[in-house]
Amino acid sequence: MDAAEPMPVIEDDVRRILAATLKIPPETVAPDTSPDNVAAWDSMGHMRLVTAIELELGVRLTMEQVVAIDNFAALCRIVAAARGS
Amino acid sequence: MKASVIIRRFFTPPLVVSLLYWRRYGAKVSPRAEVELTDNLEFGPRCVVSSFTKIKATLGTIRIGSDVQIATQCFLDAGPGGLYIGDHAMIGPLTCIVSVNYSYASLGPVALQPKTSKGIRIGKGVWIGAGCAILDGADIGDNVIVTPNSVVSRRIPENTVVQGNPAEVIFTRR
Repeated sequence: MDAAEPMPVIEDDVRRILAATLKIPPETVAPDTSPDNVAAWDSMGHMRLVTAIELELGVRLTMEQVVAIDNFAALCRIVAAARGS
Repeated sequence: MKASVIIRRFFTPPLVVSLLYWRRYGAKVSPRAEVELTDNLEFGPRCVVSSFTKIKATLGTIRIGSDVQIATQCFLDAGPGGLYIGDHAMIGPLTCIVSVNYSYASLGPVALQPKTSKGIRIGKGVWIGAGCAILDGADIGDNVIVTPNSVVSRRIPENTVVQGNPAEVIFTRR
């Protein structure tokens, strides 16, 4: 699998949470969905997204991981890593 | 009102007020701010109060820690419950911090009803964004970030980021 592609195991959950938090249709979420192409994904949207991910998926991200989330694919990878650790 | 209070409040030139607070506490109060000259108000060293901010400590005490920055056009008013701001706090422009409230127990003009005051505590390292309202009873923990235009009137856990009216936790700092 391409490193830029989201991990299928958690992709659906992360897509659902991202869409609900940022109030965008789930079908529009793609690997390159990012703050650059979603208006609601601003600094506060980013914090709400991380909090929603942590609450719903039961993971805890480090600050380094929080700031490393720059698109949907990266978010899926980071959540997968946090779940595995 | 005593004549000495009237003279101190209304006839002391703002530049003199600024110089007195600088000499007494090492605080930099803009001569264009309207800061009451009273023993009810204490600054820590290196505090900054920007122009057009009004600070009123007639009814209660205001204790401001060291290195606190208060931006332009803020309004701080202490009721009997007091107001405390911890070290290194930053208050964004157009923020209102008022530790006094009116009772509305009986129908009729609110202005004629008794005032209440629980006090306000703002912890160390708090950053309050522009246009916030911090109301009586607010107890903001250390290192909290209050996003712009939020309204706080209750306890906020330390190390969190809050947003909205009423302000809710949207993130925990780590």
